[in-house]
Amino acid sequence: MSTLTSRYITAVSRAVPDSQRSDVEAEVAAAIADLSEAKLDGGATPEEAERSALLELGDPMRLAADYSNRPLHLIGPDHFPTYVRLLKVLAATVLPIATLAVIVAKLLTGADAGQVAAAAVTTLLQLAMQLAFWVTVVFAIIERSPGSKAMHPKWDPSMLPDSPTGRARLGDTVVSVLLALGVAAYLPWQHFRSPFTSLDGSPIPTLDPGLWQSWIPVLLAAMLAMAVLEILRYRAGGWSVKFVSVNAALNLLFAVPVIWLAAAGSLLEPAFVQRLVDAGWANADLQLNATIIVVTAGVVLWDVVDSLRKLPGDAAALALGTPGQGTAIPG
Amino acid sequence: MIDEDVLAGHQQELRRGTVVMAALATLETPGYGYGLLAVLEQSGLSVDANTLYPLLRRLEKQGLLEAEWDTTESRPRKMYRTSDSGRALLKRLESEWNALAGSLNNLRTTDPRKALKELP
Repeated sequence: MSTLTSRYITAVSRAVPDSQRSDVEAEVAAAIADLSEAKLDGGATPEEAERSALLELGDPMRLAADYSNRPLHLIGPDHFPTYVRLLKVLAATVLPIATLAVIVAKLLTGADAGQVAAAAVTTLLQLAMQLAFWVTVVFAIIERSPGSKAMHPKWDPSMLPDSPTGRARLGDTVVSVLLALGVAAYLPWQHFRSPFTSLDGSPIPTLDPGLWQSWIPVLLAAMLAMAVLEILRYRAGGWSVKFVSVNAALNLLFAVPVIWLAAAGSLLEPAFVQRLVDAGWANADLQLNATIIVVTAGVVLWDVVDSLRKLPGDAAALALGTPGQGTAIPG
Repeated sequence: MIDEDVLAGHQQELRRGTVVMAALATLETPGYGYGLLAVLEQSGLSVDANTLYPLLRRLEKQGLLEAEWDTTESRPRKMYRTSDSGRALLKRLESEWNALAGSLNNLRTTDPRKALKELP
């Protein structure tokens, strides 16, 4: 037996289960002998005959897989839908929660803005890779375990994602407008009527009054514009690319200054923070700023993601000529 | 013109499964792998060697073929023969095949638009 043939047979038999090994070895050897004999009869030299016989049998891994009826794919069509669905669910739940937790932990330990951002990004990337890797490993094992064909969850109509009903829902719109107006109203309210008063009875603003010269008007404008945008969107019947971009821009216009100021420690009025420290809240400065950053980032992220999520459905509904109007089901 | 790749893809799908019938039918007379390969090639049902050899082994495992090593020749060869259950399966597959051919012919001979209109 020449080396090429014996190497081929070894390559095949190594890739089949122990129990079938000697059987398959004998069969492959007989097949190679038959095929090369036919080539020899056709006038080929022994080397050519052997080579073309091996070429005809092809990649030994593939042949071994055919012999032992093993899959040549990591995850087959039976489990692929479940696999993708699970990955999506994990990406939408575990990733943001864990990243947010890391941000909070970093802020509480007094990291600066750069460290927080770096930790958040590395956590997000590492976690995403770990999730994808381990879910894939588990599904690859399931794919290869006997009886797994019967195991994959049956598809059911109730698993269908929301259809492109689109439409601006009245409930959503009212909540969004109230939220925007509420934040906008809070800005002047905290300045004139704070629940905290100094010794002489005058109110202590929660936000640094110096910001009235710079950022507070911007924040106020962003929130008012947001309320207007929500109303316009409702009248238009849903999200469009234009509304989504403006919404994202307004969100950033609000969130970036707030997060930046909070991270730099210049958002809150020092006298207000001092009152809290005097009242026994030793880490008031750090913990308040951290909470503000997390909540702002969370709300803004959610709002932008939500608008993006609804965009395809609304666009489809608008294209069908059935814009929401007031007839849409609230909530 | 038909795209060659498209044609090849559809042909392959159409032929998938016919190799099983051809093997079961041909091996009523005992034969070994390469012999079957040559017979199929001659009758226009060309199969790749690396498809046929594993298929024979699978059919043997399913009890549709009986196999034994023939050691009377200069080197051992695995001889296959269609088993009783292989014959029964072939019968079922053939009637399925004929039913499919009949249905297709019906569709092709009657005006397809008319057939669709007759649907409730």
